[in-house]
Amino acid sequence: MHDENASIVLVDDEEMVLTSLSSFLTLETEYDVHTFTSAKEALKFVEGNEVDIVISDYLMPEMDGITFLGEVRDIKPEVPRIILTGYADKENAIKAINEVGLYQYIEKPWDNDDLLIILRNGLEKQRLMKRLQEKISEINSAYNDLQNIQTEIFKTFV
Amino acid sequence: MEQSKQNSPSTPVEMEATLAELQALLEEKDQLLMASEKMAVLGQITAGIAHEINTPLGALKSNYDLFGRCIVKLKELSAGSDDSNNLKIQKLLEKIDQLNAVNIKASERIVQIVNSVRRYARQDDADPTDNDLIEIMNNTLAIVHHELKNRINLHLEFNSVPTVKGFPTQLSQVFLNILVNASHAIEDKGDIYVKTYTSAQNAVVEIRDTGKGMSPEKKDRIFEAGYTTKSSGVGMGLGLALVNKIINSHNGTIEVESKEDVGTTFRIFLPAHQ
Repeated sequence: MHDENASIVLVDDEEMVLTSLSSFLTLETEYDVHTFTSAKEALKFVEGNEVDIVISDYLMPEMDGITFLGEVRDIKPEVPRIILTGYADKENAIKAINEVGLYQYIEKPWDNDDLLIILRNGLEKQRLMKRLQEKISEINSAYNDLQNIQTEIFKTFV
Repeated sequence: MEQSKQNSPSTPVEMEATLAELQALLEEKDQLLMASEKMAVLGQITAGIAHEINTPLGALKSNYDLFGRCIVKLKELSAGSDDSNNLKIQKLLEKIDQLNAVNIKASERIVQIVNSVRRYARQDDADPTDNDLIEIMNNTLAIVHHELKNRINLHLEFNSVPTVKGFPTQLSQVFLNILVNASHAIEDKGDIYVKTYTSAQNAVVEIRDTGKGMSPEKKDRIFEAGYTTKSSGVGMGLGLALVNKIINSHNGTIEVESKEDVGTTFRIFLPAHQ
């Protein structure tokens, strides 16, 4: 995955926020942006597609952002999750960051440049995590191979 | 109450007088209770509104930023050619850019206003917290800004003060009431001096205005609930009674000096948090 075509999922029950965010991202980046006003729809998408980062509003009628991002973690634990929040619920949001293991929170009204930095850092983290995962599985398979060879050697000699 | 117990009323006339006294006291308490409940509800509603404003405000602020970014790109695109149409386009882009800069500034201003309202309306925790009075004063001043601007010169002298144990919203309410009164006391143009300093283990906040001042008779009654010099509809006469109640509950004291046609000074003493 390169940052250029990273797949970003945006969830907010307010269409205007989605339009602003996605317009900004399509203007300034090559990200593949997917927007949802429904957290449930977004979950279906996350389940069936390659996703690199998820940003969600906190207060939503159908399912709150923390619950939604918690479910995203269950499906794809390696994907960085970001919450978008108003000041009034900042304290709860910070508590939730620890509970659900969120990557970052962004306050409304947000600053576009800050948002971009957070996204880039999040994607970098995701890329490193992915590479780490790949290395771990390489090591695992090498270890399995070695064990198989060891068994073969034992069989041959004993 | 203490007094009436000591000199028990013996005649029906005396009893009636005591009863009337008690009734007045009860009414005063009722009014104060109502006023503080009203303030609490108002605070909740205001915090909710400020929160709601942030979503559309976020979209506006982001979009103005986007317009700016688009304009830069459009300018680059039209920079190459000098034909007359293109020159017109460049002029229009310049205009849009200028207007958008105003939009950005205007939305920044709204962000600041909403922030100060949010801080003011924030509901106090159940337990008292450690408070910086200068920070509370600055937030309160941001709220009364519109009431003072163009008419009143504000002079600030913030000397460092110890932190104070208490409820920030209530303390802000105290400053707000006194500042608004000071502003009302100034009929045309004038000055308000806000000063903080430390005196004998107390954090002191002094608010002085160059308004019309009060006679000694008026001055003696200002902390009574229901006493007002303003025409009906302006105030219920509960502002300073509430101020007094809040300061008392913070173990502080408040004093007032006033001279007609010279101005009024309020001094609030709050014990330093050990």
